[in-house]
Amino acid sequence: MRLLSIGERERRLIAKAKERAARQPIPLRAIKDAGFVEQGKRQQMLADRPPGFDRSDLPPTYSVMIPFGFRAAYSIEEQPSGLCAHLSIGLEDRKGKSMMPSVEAVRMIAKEFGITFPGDMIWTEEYEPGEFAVNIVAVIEPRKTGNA
Amino acid sequence: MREKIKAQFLAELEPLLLQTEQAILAKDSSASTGLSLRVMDVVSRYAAQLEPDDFRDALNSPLARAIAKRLGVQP
Repeated sequence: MRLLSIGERERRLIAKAKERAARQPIPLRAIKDAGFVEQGKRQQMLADRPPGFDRSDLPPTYSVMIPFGFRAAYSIEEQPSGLCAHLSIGLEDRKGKSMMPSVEAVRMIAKEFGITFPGDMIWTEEYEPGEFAVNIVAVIEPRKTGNA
Repeated sequence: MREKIKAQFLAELEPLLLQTEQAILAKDSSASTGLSLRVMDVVSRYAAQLEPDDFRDALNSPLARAIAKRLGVQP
C-alpha cells in the first residue's frame, strides 16, 4: 500500500486535464471501435480485449501523475448512457509486478476529479499480465431517450 | 433495507481488508493484488445498491482506519 499526496500542484494538473478532455470528447464510434463500450463487466482481463487490440489506436486520455506513483488518466467520452467522465487509475514506479491501487486511494483520487465514488460504473482492467487499473465512469449528461 | 445492504457490504468488505493487511505485511504483492481485486469486485457489486456516503462510511469504518494506521498510510 502506498501513500497518496494531493496538493495544489496536482489540483492544477487535474483541472488542466479535465479542461483538455472536455474540449475533446471521445465519440461513441471511437469507443465502439476500440471495443470499450460499457459492458457491465466488473473485471476486464487482457483475454477480453478485442482481436487486434492496439492501445496506441485508442483515443487520447489526459494523464496526471499523483504522488506517490499513481497515474490517473481522464477522458470525456460518449457511451450509450450519455456523455461520461472516465477515470482510469493505475500505479507506476512499481518495485514489483502485480499491484493495483487501493480502493481508498481510488475513492480519494476520483473525488479530486469530481467523480463521486463509485461512480455509475466501476471495474478493474488488466493492462499488463497480472497488473490492474481501476476504471470509474460517471454519467455527466444522460443520453436523451428517443434521440439516439 | 439500505441499512441491511450496507451491513452486508461491510460484512463482505472487512474480512478482505484484514486479509489485504496481512498480505501487505507479508510483502506478498500477488496476494494483495488478488485481494484488492476482490475488494473492487465487492464494491462494484454493491455500487448500484448503495449511496456514495455508504461507501465513504465503509472505507472510513473504525476497522479500515485502524488498518490504515497500522500500515502507516494514515496519520
